[in-house]
Amino acid sequence: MRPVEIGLDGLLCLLLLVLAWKALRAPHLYQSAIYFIALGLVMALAWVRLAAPDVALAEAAIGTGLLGVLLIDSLRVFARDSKTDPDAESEEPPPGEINVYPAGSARPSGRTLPMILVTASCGLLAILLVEAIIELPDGGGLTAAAQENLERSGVDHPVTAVLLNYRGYDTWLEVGVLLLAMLGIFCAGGRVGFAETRQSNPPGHLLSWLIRALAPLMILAAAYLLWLGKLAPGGAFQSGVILGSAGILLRLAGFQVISRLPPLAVKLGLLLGFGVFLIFGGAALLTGRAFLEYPEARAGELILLVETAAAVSIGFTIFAFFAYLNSRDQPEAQENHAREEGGNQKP
Amino acid sequence: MTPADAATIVFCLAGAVFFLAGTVGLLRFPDIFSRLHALTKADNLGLGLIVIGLVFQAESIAGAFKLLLIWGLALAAGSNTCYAIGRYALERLPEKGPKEVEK
Repeated sequence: MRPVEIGLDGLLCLLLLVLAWKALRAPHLYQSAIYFIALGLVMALAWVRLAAPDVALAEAAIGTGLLGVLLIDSLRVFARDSKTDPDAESEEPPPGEINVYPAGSARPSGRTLPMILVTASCGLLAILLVEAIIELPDGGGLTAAAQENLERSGVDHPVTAVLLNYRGYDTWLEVGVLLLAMLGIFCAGGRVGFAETRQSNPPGHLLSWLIRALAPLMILAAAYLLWLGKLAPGGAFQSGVILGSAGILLRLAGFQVISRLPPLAVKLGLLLGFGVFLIFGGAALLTGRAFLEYPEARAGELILLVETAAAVSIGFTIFAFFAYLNSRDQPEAQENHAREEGGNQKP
Repeated sequence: MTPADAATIVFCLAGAVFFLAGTVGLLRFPDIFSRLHALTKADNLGLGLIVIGLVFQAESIAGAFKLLLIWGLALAAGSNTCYAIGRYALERLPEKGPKEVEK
């Protein structure tokens, strides 16, 4: 390894530690969120240095872009809640300054017992991870086996082969976790989140022009990444996140997204990924193969189909997370929802 | 060293100078608008010069075109971000005027 590379990697490690600490200890939760986004970016770079572009793409898209939007938006909701609370500490900026921190974003003081528990758990996890790295067999464990069977898997990229063929079961359950999280949100707040309201202050012409121009490009990029997953880093998750982000951007610019679609289409979109996996798995069982085992001759096409369904569902789910957060507690949304429900109910 | 390599070094160094100046400006300038001004120079010109430098190393015409597309995307996104931040700051300006605004 050349000295330049050692220096670069050392700098990345140092930056990761500093940013993680800053994210934990910044005086405002808003600052924490920003540090967390920076942490995700550096983490993506670290994955690139570890020659894992698939993980880097996912980290940059999910860990940085999406999570950042969700965190900052959550803080905005907290700020709105604390504004209506008369006991809330008001943080009026000194005259002549702009208060960049939303009200109620000051970090709550930590309690000792949870802090100790969390620290102990993290320490234990770190020890286990270090042990796992020490016990890693020479030659990277299953890499050789994955490469050997690549020809029979239906795709040319080992990561996609592992995700969709060798370990399709894991990916299926991951899509299931997303679906469960979405159902959890529905249970916690009802379906109010889907009643979209027009934003009170629409963004300027320039911003809505940019988003109008970018949204089709993003859909194109999502399709490209999906197709690329067959032979290079890319695939359902990255593609789904880009689809979801396109929806979020449109939503931020005040465009109606979900309410333009028939409700059945939305539900189908959310369920598609999990359902297609399940149907294929069941069909494989019925024809005497193992669960989620693809027939070798058609594996490529089937994987593409499953991936497409998964990407659409991931995109819908991610957008639904945001749409829910974004319109929670908006009286107008609740009214719309109540009217809709009332219209549907029959005595 | 081929002429292409020399061109890459010259353009990338020039780009790095803009990034350095932009960073110093971000850290040292007094108010939000002059900071934005410094940042966008780094984004637009700095990245543009580095992209031009890298174009000389591209293996194909398509690769060079992709690099230029990335620059175009960063230009559109960067100027919009600047506009959005500037508008946000302007809406919240106190009566005194832009000179008094601290970030």
